[in-house]
Amino acid sequence: MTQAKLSETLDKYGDRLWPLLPNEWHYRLKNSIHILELSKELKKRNFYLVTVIANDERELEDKCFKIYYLFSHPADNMFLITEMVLDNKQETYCSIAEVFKAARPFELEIGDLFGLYPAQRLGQEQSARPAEDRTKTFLHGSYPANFNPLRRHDNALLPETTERVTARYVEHSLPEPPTGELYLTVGPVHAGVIEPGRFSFRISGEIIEEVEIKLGYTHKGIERLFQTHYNLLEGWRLAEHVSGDSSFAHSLAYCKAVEALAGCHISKVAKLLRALFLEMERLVNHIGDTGALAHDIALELVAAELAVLREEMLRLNGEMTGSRFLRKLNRPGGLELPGTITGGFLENLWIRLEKITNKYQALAEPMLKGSHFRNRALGVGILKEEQALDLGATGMVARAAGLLRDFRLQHPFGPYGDAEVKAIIESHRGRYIENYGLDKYRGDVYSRFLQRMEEVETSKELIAYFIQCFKKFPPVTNYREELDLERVDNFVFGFGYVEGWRGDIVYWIMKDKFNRIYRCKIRDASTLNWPALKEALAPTNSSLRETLLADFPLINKSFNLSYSGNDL
Amino acid sequence: MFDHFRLLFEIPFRLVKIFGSPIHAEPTRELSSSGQPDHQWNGQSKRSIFIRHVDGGSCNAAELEISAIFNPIYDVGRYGFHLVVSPRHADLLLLTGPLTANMETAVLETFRAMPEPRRVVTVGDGFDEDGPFQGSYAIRPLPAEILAFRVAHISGDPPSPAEMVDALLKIFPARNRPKL
Repeated sequence: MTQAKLSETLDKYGDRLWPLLPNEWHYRLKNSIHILELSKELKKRNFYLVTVIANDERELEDKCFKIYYLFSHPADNMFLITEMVLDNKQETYCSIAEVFKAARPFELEIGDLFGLYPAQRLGQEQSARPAEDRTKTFLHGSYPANFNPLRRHDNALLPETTERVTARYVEHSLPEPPTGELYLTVGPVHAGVIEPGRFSFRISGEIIEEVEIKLGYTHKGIERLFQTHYNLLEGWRLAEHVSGDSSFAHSLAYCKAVEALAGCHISKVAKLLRALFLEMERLVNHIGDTGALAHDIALELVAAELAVLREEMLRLNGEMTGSRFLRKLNRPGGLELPGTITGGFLENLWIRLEKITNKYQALAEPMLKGSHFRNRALGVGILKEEQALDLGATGMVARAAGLLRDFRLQHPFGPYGDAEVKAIIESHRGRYIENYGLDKYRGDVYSRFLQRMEEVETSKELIAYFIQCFKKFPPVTNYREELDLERVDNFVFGFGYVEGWRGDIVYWIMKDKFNRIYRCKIRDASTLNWPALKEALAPTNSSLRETLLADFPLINKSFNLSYSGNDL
Repeated sequence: MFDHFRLLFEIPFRLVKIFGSPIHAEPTRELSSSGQPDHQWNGQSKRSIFIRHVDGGSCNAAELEISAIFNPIYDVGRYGFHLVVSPRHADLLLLTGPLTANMETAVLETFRAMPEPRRVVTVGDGFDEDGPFQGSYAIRPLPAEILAFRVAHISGDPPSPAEMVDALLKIFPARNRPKL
C-alpha cells in the first residue's frame, strides 16, 4: 500500500530507470529543484540517507555534473537511488541538509573535492561560487584554493609540491572567548596512540559548552587514487587500507560493488566464509573497545586482560587466514585463501573462540554491575533515539540509542538472509540494554557498552551457526568465481554494502571503458556518526545533562569512530 | 657483598661487549638540525627509550599494532620502551604513514619540539615505495629534516607486534636491558 503510494510520488518527480539489482529503485529527477520536495516526502516516511555521490560526467552522455542520493527504505529490503542532473554547466545545487541533516558532511565533501556548492536558496542559481567558499574540511590550507581533485581534466593536477608552503594553524583559530569561558583545543596530535583530529572545546568551568571537530588530517586522496592507480580487479588492495580496523568489511563492500556490476554469483561457501570473517572482525573490535573503555575509567587490570583477549583473537585471525587484520582475502568474485579451510579446523577455532568469549563475559559482566563503571558511564554522553534519527546516525551507535540500523536485518546479504540468522540477531537485540540500561539514560556510554556486549554474544552465536553450515559443504579448494567484466556496459554503476562492526559501509563504483574505475565513492559509517558524537559531547537540547570535559575521552572511546574512513 | 652482585650482573654484558657487538641497524645518517653530525648518539642507548607516536595519516592498522606492543603479552615496557604524551619528553618519534599534506605541519612541529638527540622510526607500508597510497596528490614525501634523523623503517602491512618489538630491540640494542 505505502509502496504503491510511494511510487506515485516518485513518478511525479522523476523518471524510472532500469536498475541493476532487483532491490533497487532508480529514478532520475525531472528537475533538480524537486530534490527538496522529494526528500521532505522521504523524510516523512522515515527513509534513511545512506550516501550522497557527486560525479563529474561532463565527458559522458549527459555532459554535466550529477549528484546521486542513495536512500534506504525503513522497513523493506529496498534502496532508492535518485539521480540529480546539474544542467547548463551549473555548479550549484539544491541542498537537502535542512531535511536530512546527514547530507551535510557529504555536501562539505562535494564542495572540497568537486567545487560544487549548495545554492543559498532554492531557485537562486549562480554560475560559479568564489573559491574562497571552500570549507577546507578535507583539503586544508596547504592546498591551492581552486584545486578540485575529483574534477576531470581541469585543475585536477596539483602544482609542484615545492610551491605549497606548509600552512600554520591560523585558519582554525577561534574567536576571543567571553569572560569566564575558555577555549581548549586538543589535537591533531593526541596524547595517545590514536589517529589525528582536532577538537576545540569552549568550556565554562568543567562543562563543555560547545565543541568543534576538525577532521580531514588523514585525507589521502583515496577516491582519486582509485581512478588513477587501480583497476576494478585490483581495487580491493586499496579498499582494505581505508580503515585499518574494518579492513575486511571495506574490501568486502568493494568486492560486492564490483560483483553487482558484473552480475556475478559467488559460491555459497565463499559467502559463508565472508560472513564468518565479518563476524570475527566485529568480535575483535568490540572486545578491544571494551578494553579501551575499561582503560579510560582506570580499570587497568580488566583493560589488560581484555587486551590479551583481543590479541588472542587477532592471532586466531592470523592462523586462519595468514593476516591478523583479515587482509588480502577478498577478491571480486570470492575469496583467496592461503590454504583450504576444513570443518575440523573451524571446529578447533570454535573451541578457542568459545573460551575467549566466555572469558570476555566474565570480565565485562562485573564491570557493568560495579559502581566504578556505572558512576562514570551512566547518563554520560547521551544520544537519544530521536536525535540519532534526526542526525542520521547509523550502526552500533544508533542501535545503542534504540534505533534499528542494521543492514544484516534490513538489507540481508549472503547467509544473513537465512531465517536462523535473523532469529539469532533478533533474539539478542536489546537484551542487555533492557535488563541493565535505565530508560531515561538510553543512548549513553553505558548503553553503548551494553550494545557491545550484546553484539559480542550475537557474533559468537552467528559464528557457531556459520561453522555448522560450513561443515555441510564438501571441502573445496577454490573459493573464487571468474568475473566477466567485458559483458558489462560502460559507465554503469553498482554499489556494495556491508554491515561492518561500526555500521554500514557502502561502496559506489562506476566502470569506465577499460575496466578501470571511473568513480568510486566510499562511505564509512563514521561519516554519519561524527555529527552524532558532536551532539553527545555538547547537547543542544538543554534538558540533557551537560558533559564534563573529563568525560570526553570516555564518550569519544564509546563511539570509537574512524578518522581515516571519514577523511579518505 | 654488593660489589659481588654487581659483577655477577655485569659479566654477561661485558662478554657481549668483547665477543660480538649485538646486531643493530646502522643509523642512516647522523645529522642534527643545524646540519652538523649528531655526536650525542652512537646508535646505542644506555637507558630507556621514550617514544612519542604520531599518525601521519595512516589507516589506523599500524596504530592498533603499536598499541598492542604495550599490552601484557608483548609488554615492551620491560625493555625500557615507554610511551610519553609530549614530544618534549621523547627520544624517539614513531611515525606511521603515509604523510598527508594536511598532517605535514603537525608532524614537523612535533618533530621540532623533540629535544636532541632524537631519532625517527617510520612504521607501516605507507612509506614504502610500492605502498598502496603512493602516487596520490595528498601524499607528501618525508621532509629532509625528518629523513636525516630516521634510523630505521619497519615495513609491513601493518608490521605485527612481534616484528615491531624485534625491530625496536635491534635498533636500540639493550646494554643494560635483559635479552629476549
